[in-house]
Amino acid sequence: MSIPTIEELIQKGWGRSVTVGALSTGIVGGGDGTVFDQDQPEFAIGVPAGVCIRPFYAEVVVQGGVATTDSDETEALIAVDSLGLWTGDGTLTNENPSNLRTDLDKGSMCRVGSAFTGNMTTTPGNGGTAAAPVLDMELARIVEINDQAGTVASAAYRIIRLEYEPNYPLFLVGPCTLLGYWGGTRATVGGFAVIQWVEGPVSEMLPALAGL
Amino acid sequence: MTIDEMVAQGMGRSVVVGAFSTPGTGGGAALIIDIDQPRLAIGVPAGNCIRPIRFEVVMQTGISTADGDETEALIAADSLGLWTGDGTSTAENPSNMRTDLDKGSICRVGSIFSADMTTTPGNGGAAADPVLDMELARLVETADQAGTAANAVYTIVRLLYEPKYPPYLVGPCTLLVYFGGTIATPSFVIGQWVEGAARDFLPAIAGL
Repeated sequence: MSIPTIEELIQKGWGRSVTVGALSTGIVGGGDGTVFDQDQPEFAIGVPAGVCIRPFYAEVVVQGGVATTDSDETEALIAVDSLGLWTGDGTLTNENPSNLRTDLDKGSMCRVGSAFTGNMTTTPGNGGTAAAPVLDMELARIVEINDQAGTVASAAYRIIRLEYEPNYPLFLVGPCTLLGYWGGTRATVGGFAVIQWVEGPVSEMLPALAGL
Repeated sequence: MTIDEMVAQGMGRSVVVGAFSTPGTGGGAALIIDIDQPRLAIGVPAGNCIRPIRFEVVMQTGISTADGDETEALIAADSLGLWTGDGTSTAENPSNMRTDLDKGSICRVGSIFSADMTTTPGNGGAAADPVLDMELARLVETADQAGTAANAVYTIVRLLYEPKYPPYLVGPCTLLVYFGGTIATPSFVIGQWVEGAARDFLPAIAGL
């Protein structure tokens, strides 16, 4: 059995890259508030039936808000709804991914959105009804905790950066959705993400298995 | 077969402890890590093999009140003993790393033990506390209060184990994950591995 390498897939023009936030302006995390909200992700990549993606690199950089109490937290999460497909609902910014071969046009077989401020849903491929995404598989996370330690009289410098670059990326077979979140108990100044993946027909990405 | 090919064949597994923004409780019944109350246990039955490919422990550290307060995480193996389901824990049902395939595992997977578990050696020995004879990764953070603290401190405590050459954990054996500290430390774990029959993972060795 052999499967195409990610390098080969990128050479064929199957690599994609999308950015959330740009230059020096991040998007505020959380749902429409500060704490992150399952149905208002910071980014969503809906993988339709018959398509497979392999996310091989994701970076989330968060400018945390200024803490005021002990245990204030800032966090980021990358996760998967392995059954449910986001079909475009909610209030969001549509994204048009770049090709990882820059001589090829932008675009994707997946629906890609960011900065949700109205609730989105995913629809299971098994005939279930649309509902808030079910994050049944988490891929990576970071949490920063604050200790105010009495009356603060100091400067503190922080870097909150989550890098996900697995040796063995998953096969996310549609219908499913890849989602990213950031936020905290204090409003974040902003957050940025870079997400890269390869995508293609399932038949080209995976071996046939008996019964499927 | 490469690990990538195994994942493509549906042999990859992924499990989560804690979820979304709610971590699992740290320590054992108390705060400090406890050898027979792990936060995650993966029991590998005889005849099977797993290779841990990515384990991430992310800790929400407690607020330190004394010099030397510590927060720690440990990933280790009991290379002889199999956890067979005792203790009080939450049963976990791992996802497949190919999302078109069903959840489930040939291993027994449990989390957040609040009563003692044991492992049973494959050599006929009696069930007892797990023996962590092979540690894989660890992280320790220690607090220094520096007298009367009057400063803001932000901490990120994250252990990522993503080995270039993952070990072959051949059953009967158990992979265990711990997190805790001298102060309350709720945390999250994401664990990923490939699994299958030992004969599909390893060459036959004379005498075995």
